Amino acid sequence: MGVKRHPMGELIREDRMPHIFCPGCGIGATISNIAEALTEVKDEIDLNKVAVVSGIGCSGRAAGYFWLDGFHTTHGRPIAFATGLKLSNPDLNVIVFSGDGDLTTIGGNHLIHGARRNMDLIVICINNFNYGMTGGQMGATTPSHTKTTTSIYGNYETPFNLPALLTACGANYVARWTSAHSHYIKRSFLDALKKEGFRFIEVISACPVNWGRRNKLRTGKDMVKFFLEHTVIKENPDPKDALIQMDTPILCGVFADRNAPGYMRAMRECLSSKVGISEFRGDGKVELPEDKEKEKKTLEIPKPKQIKEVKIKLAGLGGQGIALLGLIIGRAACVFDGNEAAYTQEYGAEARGGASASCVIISSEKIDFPYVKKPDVMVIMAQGAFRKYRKDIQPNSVVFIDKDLVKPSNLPEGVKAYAVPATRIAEQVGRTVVANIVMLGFISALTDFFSLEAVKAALKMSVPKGTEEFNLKAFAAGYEYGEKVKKGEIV
Amino acid sequence: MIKKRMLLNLDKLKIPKGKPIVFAERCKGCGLCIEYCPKQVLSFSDDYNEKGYHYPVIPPEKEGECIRCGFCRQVCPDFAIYVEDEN
Amino acid sequence: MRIGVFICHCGKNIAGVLDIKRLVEEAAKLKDVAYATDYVYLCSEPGQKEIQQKIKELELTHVVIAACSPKMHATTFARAVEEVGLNPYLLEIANIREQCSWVHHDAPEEATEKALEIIRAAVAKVSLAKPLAPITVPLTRKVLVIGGGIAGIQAALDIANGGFEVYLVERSPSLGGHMAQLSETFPTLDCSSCILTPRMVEVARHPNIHLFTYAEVKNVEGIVGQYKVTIEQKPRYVDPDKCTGCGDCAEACPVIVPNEFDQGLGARKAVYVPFPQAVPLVYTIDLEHCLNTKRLIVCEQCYHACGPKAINYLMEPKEIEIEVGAIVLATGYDLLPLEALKEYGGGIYPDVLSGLEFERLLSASGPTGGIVRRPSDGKIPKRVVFIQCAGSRDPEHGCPYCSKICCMYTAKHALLYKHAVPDGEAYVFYIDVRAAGKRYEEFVQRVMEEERIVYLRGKVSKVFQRKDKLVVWGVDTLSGMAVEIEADMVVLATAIVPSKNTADLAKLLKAPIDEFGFLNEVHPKLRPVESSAMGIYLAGAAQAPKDIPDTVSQASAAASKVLGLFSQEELSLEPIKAEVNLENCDGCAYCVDVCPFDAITLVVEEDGHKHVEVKKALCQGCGCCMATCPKEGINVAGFTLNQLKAQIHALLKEDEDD
Repeated sequence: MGVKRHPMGELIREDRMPHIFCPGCGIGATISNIAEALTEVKDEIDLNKVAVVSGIGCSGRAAGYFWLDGFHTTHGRPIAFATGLKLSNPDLNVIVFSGDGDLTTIGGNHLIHGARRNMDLIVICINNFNYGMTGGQMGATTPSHTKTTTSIYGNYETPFNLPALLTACGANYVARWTSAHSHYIKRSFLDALKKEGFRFIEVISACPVNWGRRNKLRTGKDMVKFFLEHTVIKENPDPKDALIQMDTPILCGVFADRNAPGYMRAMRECLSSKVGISEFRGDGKVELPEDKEKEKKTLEIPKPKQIKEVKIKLAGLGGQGIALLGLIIGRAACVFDGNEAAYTQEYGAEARGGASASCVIISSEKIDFPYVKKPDVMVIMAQGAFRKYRKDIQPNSVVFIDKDLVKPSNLPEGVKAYAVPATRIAEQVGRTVVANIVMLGFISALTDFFSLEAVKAALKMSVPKGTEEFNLKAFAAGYEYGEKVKKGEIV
Repeated sequence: MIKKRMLLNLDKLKIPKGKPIVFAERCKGCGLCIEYCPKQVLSFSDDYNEKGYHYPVIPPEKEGECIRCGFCRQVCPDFAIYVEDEN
Repeated sequence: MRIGVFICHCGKNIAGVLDIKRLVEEAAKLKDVAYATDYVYLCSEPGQKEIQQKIKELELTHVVIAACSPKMHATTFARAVEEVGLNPYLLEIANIREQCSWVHHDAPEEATEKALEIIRAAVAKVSLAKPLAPITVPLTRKVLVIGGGIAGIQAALDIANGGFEVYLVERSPSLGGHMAQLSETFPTLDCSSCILTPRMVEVARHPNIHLFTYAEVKNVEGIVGQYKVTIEQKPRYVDPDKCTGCGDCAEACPVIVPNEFDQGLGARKAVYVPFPQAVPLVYTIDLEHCLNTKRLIVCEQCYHACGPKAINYLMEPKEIEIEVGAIVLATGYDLLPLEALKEYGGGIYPDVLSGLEFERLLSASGPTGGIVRRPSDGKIPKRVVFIQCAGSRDPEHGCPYCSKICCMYTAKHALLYKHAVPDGEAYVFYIDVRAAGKRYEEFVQRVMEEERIVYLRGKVSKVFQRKDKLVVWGVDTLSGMAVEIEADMVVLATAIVPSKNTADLAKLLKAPIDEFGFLNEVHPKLRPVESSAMGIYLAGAAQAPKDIPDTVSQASAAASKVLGLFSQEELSLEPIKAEVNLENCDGCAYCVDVCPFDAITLVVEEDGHKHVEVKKALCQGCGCCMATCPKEGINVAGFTLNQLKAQIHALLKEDEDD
């Protein structure tokens, strides 16, 4: 007849039995119930696609006792990890199984955002009123006036009312039972399996050795008796009444059972209408729809134009397109001329009107340090920027300025300054927003850091679709002006 | 002696019979199964398992009394006990 | 004002004692009396025609009829005067028969003086009477039937087929009552279930009947036409919409409990239906015996066994509020407990049975499949003694009445026993054999003669145990000999008592009950299906012990009363109701508390001025308010303080010269 096997033996790491939990521990009881529930539906769901994620703590060891794929992650982070797991492999049924200390105290932030997002996870929170594994310290769910190792005179804090918290955050399913309510834990779990979104089941568990012992409930039997006598199950309990106090019965039941779209569904619905993504493949890859209009361009990278290292710093007001200007220069030198380029940005706190600066370093050799301390070239498009960055202007360097907006003074020795009325020309071309492109054209005419074809290609790549012609017009206007300055027709 | 009445249709009813199976080495002696068995079929053993806990056994006078309700398996935190159908 | 006085001879009842001529003479002299006459039988048709003619001829404005009690013919006379256009509340009846001639038949002269005073008082009262019109109140034309036995089922079907909505509330999980427990019914030996279950199914399927089983009536407010009833639906812990009645749950349940339907002789599981033909066929969990610990640790065997997943341990009692216009009480009977008959070994020896217990043994769907077995050891008894009048006709046991059905069912039991155990012996101890129904006597004769069952006329004094047998000591008065029988089983035809919650319901509905707890009808002869509480009707054994044909008749009768009530869309009530005199009422509100019908409320106007207000629909015209009020602020229409004062003055001859 063979060795007898426990009816849930298939779902448990029998080789790891006996488990580490104390006699009478509620975690063991809950693992038993979840295993039983999964056994009930093992013909309907693919157990190979069920994953258990646990954090740190006694409850966090649960992942290791299920014969299911699982992960034992850092303290407080199972929900974050589970989110990533679910997003990358949406076919999985991801169950987070961890304790109150892990999920609600140290991990509180992940909890509320997971619930807010209605991330498609089932979260079983074993609430044994303390941080058990580390010695019984108080946590966010320790009931008032009870004793723990860090509240030896009684806890004078008010704990979380988890059902109220989770319901308010928007979780689709919120239930609370105790570890003695086996039947109801199983039913809740099976109901939750059929739903989507954030499904939170709080299981008030016996912790006789750490919490119970300090609160007159020394054994597992005492704690189970306490749960039986001091709980009340209601059919539609109000989350507001769920705060646990030792002198009132613990309110159990299903506090919220909603059908808001889960995270994956919400994402799918939004993206499928905007980006055409309608299905997520089970292996995490996404198929893009075929775009027949897009020509596949092969980019021939020419032989790199040899240049010595040039450090350029660009500065102006936020909104002038200083960052874009630096980016185009960098792309021109790197993507299209085949050289090395490094690009950084600086921002003021304001969205518009604050100072904005960017640095580009282009070189044929490898660039060691990406930040420009002593620029060879400065491009300054506003007086405020001039005031801020004048100390960076090096002797014998080149400075490009907007003629109308910048009034340079006291420039260091040997500085060559070239001015273009970029803003005015931009106005003439059509919009002041292309002042930076005018400046680009101007710079291109007067320097040889990058080829003309390279900078035009970089320009087309970097501006919003549909504005390429307009920008090229502005570029040409700046370039023309630059030519005139080169020839000495304008000073 | 005045006899008591017997229930006259017991042969027509299906009365479940069960037998508890114990994994003694997994047991941690918490006593929940013994406490909650409705027919008090289980008692603590005399001897110990490897970890030094007494585990549940069925005393000879309670043989055959188990009604297969499954309370022991439900309350056990250790996967140490379940009931087999004897019918 | 032109008052007419009509004095009735009532044959010899009045004229034999009182001097009618003198009464007519004196009456004619009274103030405002325009005409006085006498007649032999005023209640007869010519008598009434005489009254009508004189009203028209002499243009009488008020009428006094001196005759029998108004309880007899007040309505008749009222209709008569109404026909000729006189408001019926301008008619006064002077009772000179029950209150005079009948009680003073040995003192005719004094009686005549008294009659004169009575007539004078009536004239004084009617001279202050005002014409009144009936009050109409809304009528919710739906009915509540309490009790799902044959009486309730019949009443519900009749009313529903009459086109009105019925709410049928039954306390146990299934319809059927005691009739469902019977094996066969006398005298035809029809299988009881076979004739009952089609009706039960009809009730369940009828579009006009809302069936609530495993439910109780918790509260009733309001009056006829506008009752507000709260029904409590007890939780079955099984979803009736999902349960298919397959019984898998019961098979898996490990708990054995005595089955109430089998009177404890058989067992059921903690999740059960009372019997296989139950309507509705929905299982119920008996939470008291279910293994679950406060519904927290649950055994779950039924939950797992249930295919449609109909088990829900979290169900709570639900309160349902309905509005109905009438209520039919059909709460049925119970049997006197065996423990009350200790001298017969009831409750002491396991083989002393009640009638219903023996019925279950005989029943093919009972615990033994129709084989008669002793509850002590399961053996088939070869000698059975049936004792009739066990508790009935016995003031010592609190039931001096006859329980009516026991003679017939004992005969039936004896016959069925002999058919089941052909070599058995049956003895019946009786006082009288009451077999008054159709073909009942023939049935009893058959039992006595054809089936060779021994009928012994005499009471049993004692039943006790000797070794394995029950010894019955009785007497056969026809031969004058003491009788000792060593029996294997004794069946007591225990007395019928009203079912145990009848008293509470009656209190809730303010329906009167008699000293034994049976519901009281308004008149034992002429109004057997109505309670004196208006709008409450009675049907079945709750009113008095009766057999199935009488129960069905009474249920249909109650139904017809309800249908009559519902024939109008509004209800007409007598206008004898309290009226507030706003000039005198100062809002002291003494009357509010004394009103037994909660019909008076205190109203505070915007300017702070207080007075009371009467809800006419609730007022029953009892007069407590009028008696209590110190300010003459409230009067009962038709019986105002001034009218009553006038009557008293007239009786004391005080207003002769006013």
